[in-house]
Amino acid sequence: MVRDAIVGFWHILRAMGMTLKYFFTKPVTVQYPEQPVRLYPRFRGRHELRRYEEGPYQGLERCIGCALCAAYCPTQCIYVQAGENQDGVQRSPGERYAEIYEINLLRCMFCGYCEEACPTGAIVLRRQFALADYSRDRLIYTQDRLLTPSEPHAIILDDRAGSEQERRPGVSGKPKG
Amino acid sequence: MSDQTVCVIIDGQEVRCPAGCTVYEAATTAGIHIPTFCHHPKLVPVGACRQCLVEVEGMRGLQTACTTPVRDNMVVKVHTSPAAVKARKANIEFLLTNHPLDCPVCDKGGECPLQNQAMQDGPGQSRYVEEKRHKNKRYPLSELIVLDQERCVLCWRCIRFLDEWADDHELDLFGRGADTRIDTFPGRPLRSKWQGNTIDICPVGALTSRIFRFEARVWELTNTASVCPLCGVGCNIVLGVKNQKVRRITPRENMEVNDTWICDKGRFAHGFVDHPDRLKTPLIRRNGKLEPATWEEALDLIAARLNAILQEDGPQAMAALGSNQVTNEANYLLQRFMRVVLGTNNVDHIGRIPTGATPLTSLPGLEHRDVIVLLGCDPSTEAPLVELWIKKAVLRHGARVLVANPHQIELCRYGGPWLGYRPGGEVALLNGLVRAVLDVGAKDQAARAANIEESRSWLKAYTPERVEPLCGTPAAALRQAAEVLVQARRPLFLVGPAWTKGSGEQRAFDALANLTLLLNDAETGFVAGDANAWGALQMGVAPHWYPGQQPCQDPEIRNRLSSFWGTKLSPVPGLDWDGMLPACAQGKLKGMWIIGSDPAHRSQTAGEALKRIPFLVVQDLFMTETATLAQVVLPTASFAETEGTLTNLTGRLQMIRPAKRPPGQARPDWWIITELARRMVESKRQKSWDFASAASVFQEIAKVIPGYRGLSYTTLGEAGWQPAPAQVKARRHLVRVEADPPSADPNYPLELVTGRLLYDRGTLLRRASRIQNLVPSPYVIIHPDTANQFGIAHGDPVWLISSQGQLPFTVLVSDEIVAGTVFVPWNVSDPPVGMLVSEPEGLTRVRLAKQE
Ligand code: SF4
Ligand code: SF4
Ligand code: SF4
Ligand code: SF4
Ligand code: FES
Repeated sequence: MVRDAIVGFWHILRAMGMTLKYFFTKPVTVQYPEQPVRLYPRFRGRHELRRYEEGPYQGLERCIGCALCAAYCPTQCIYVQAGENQDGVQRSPGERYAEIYEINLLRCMFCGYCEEACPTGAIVLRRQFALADYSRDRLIYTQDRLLTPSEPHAIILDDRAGSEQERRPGVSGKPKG
Repeated sequence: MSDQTVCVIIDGQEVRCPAGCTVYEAATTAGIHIPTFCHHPKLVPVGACRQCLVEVEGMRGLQTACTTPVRDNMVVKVHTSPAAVKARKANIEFLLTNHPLDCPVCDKGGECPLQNQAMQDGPGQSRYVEEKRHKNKRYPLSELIVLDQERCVLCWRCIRFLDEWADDHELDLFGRGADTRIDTFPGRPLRSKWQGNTIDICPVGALTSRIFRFEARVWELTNTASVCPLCGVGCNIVLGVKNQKVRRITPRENMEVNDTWICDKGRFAHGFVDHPDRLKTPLIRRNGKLEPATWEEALDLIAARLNAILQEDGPQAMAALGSNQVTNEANYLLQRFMRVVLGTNNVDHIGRIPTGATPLTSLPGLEHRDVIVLLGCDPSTEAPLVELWIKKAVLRHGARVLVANPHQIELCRYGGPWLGYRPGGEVALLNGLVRAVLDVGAKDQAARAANIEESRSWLKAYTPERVEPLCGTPAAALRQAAEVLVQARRPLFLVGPAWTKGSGEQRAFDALANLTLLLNDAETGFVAGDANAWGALQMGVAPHWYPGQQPCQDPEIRNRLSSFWGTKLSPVPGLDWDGMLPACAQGKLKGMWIIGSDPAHRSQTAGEALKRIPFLVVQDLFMTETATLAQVVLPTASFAETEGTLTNLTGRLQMIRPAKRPPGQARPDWWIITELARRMVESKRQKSWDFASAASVFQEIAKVIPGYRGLSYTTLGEAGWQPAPAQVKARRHLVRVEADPPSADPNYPLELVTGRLLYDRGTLLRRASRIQNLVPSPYVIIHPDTANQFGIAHGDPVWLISSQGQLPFTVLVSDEIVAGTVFVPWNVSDPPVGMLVSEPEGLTRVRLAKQE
């Protein structure tokens, strides 16, 4: 009984000590958005639907509404409804475009398979991670929002340069298991 | 094919197969897969694609398995011959050199034989880096189909299908060498009503549907086996649904019904299912306006009002109309409700199959009829798949098609003869044929009738020459037809709904029986145009029939059903539709319930009569003209949203299954009727209305109808259930049936003939977008004599005037119609041609006047 109390007390002390130690190390958290976040170049954030930036299709949507991304997506969170380009109003090259394109980010696990499946490089996972919102509906991203690029306040790291220490400042040594 | 069998060795395996079959067929029976493109089991092989190359010992070079017939002891190497394997691989690579990389945007992607074979045997990477060949892409062949010539592998399947089955030679190969392409003839888009089938059999995405275009990738569809509800054939189909919307309909093989084909109406007209016009909530008339209400409110109101009518005016003040378009379950419950809960036999449906008609015994059996006689029946528009079977009989076995119809129908193309007649002249025409058959066929024919000697005297009046003025049919055509009939081995008479209108059911069938009695092995079958015409009758939605066509007047049956249903059934004879109309008009009917039909659209008389009903409930998919007159409108589930059975024109029971949710608050018919009944019966009898699903309703149907004993949804399965053909008592005697003199009315000298078109502006098809572009503008066909008489020329705008009203049309002058009649298609004009018709629907006489 008394022994238990002592052992318990010792554990508390040890934990408090750990807490205390972090008072004297540099914090891992950053004051976002005032301060930039450091991201790896291969970080996968929220999706973006790209357009052609140059060449004969300049300005057109890359997405052709083929729904291969939706087919490949392991969580089934993409919905595509294709439409047919009418003469004079070409939204994408060729005959087909995505009339509806939605991603339910609540369900997405940011695996990037959609990007891998896409034959035209239309859907890409960019770096925006600040996705919090006030309603679930807002987290079903619609085509117009996906077509609008958005960058977080971030510093992109070069993942080949420097030591672990340099790349992850504030973390000392290996994380404990 | 002889019944001899031969033995071939394929890849070391011994295979027995009938002599005369091809190497491909032999391999398939042994389960050895040979890749193909141009070969299709339903088409004559041509050997166009070279994908099926195999090595045959003793033959030089490689052989196409699809065209090479087997010989006894032939040794074939499919997968064991390196040369053949290499050749097939090379062929795939060759096909792919100029094939565009369209898979992501191609509607065939995911079910494409070329894609599959490229994955299986293809090179994986292209060695061909030059610019691919370019041809027409997005090249519409018709309103319904678009062609991509770059994707085509020139297998000819589409051409062969249209030639061998549809007999519509509308597609062909043009150009030569590398420039060869599929195309229509200049300025002539595809018009065949079977064109949709070419989409299914095209082994690549060259031919695709303009209605399914980009609607879904095929793997996104949930597929539900169902049955087409648009005509009496009941083709087996698959509904492809994505996101609660029917995206496409494709056929399902059923050799007893539709083989592997469906018509374009069944395939492309599903737009109505998801149309925004669908009724989504119950509507109740408040202050003269129909306003949305809940089911509780609507059903409570109906129950209260029906109870009140029951108290004040008794059961006979109420009536109901079922429908030959809704399920057996709905029809059964409706008549059960009327008979058991309300206690009246006043239940009927419009377009009831005439008494005396028998269902066709078999659809594939049509193929083996050598003479097919169409009596007031146009399969091409009323039951398209029947046309396909008839074409098979004609094209493969040289059958003759005799056509008795006031105007020339499509099947007249096989040389007829065409027996044009004026409506009302049916009996005269048949008597004329009887007489002519006796004249031509002499002894053989006469011997079949026991009372031939007495009959000759009344038949004297019906020589072809005397018949001509009675019905308008030329004597020569009658004689020609008689000659064909006398020689027929197995003639089949197909009777359409129009046949019995002019002369009455009894007389029309008696006169027909006289003719069939004289012929070899003749059969008569009724071609019902509506999806559940036999079903509505079978379920007892008729004043004089309980389910299973058991007569209401038979006290024994009445007692049996009384104890089964747990109530005393009324012996008072019910009103049929023709009787309901005057009863409405006289204010005798206080309440009426109409399910799935639109009588107000069919005739002005009906519309007027229904306006006089104090309490009208209409249950339908859309706000029909009848619904606008109702006090309560109930939204119901369409065929794609409910479970149930339909009975096709051979009496076959087939299941429809829910593929999606109904829109809004719409509910299946069986649910609505059950809920209403439960509100109206006292609590101790609630149990008898305890239906939890359509399946439980069917269970009861199987108990009530003697022939259906033991059936359930499980036993119906995917293929349906065919009842044994009804035993028709063979008659030995000719019955005397005299023809009517031709009617004459100087004010209205012309007889109005109406008929269906394949594509019209009916309640459902009006909501099928592209199909609407195929509906012609309203026209009337008149005979050149009539044109002269009225001083009217081809293309003139005219008024068609009957005693009921007048409608504008454009005139087409043509000698493909009998003089003295005019033809107007149903459901094309707005207001509908029904405006000119007075019910009870017999014959309508009209005159023409030029529009100023
Ligand atoms: S990242 Fe993965 S889970 Fe998210 S949408 Fe793409 S495929 Fe689906
Ligand atoms: S994002 Fe890419 S894969 Fe997805 S539908 Fe568009 S083109 Fe196809
Ligand atoms: S269009 Fe299709 S069915 Fe017709 S020849 Fe080309 S590949 Fe064959
Ligand atoms: S033939 Fe009749 S049942 Fe068959 S698809 Fe056409 S409309 Fe439907
Ligand atoms: S399948 Fe035999 S040649 Fe095409």
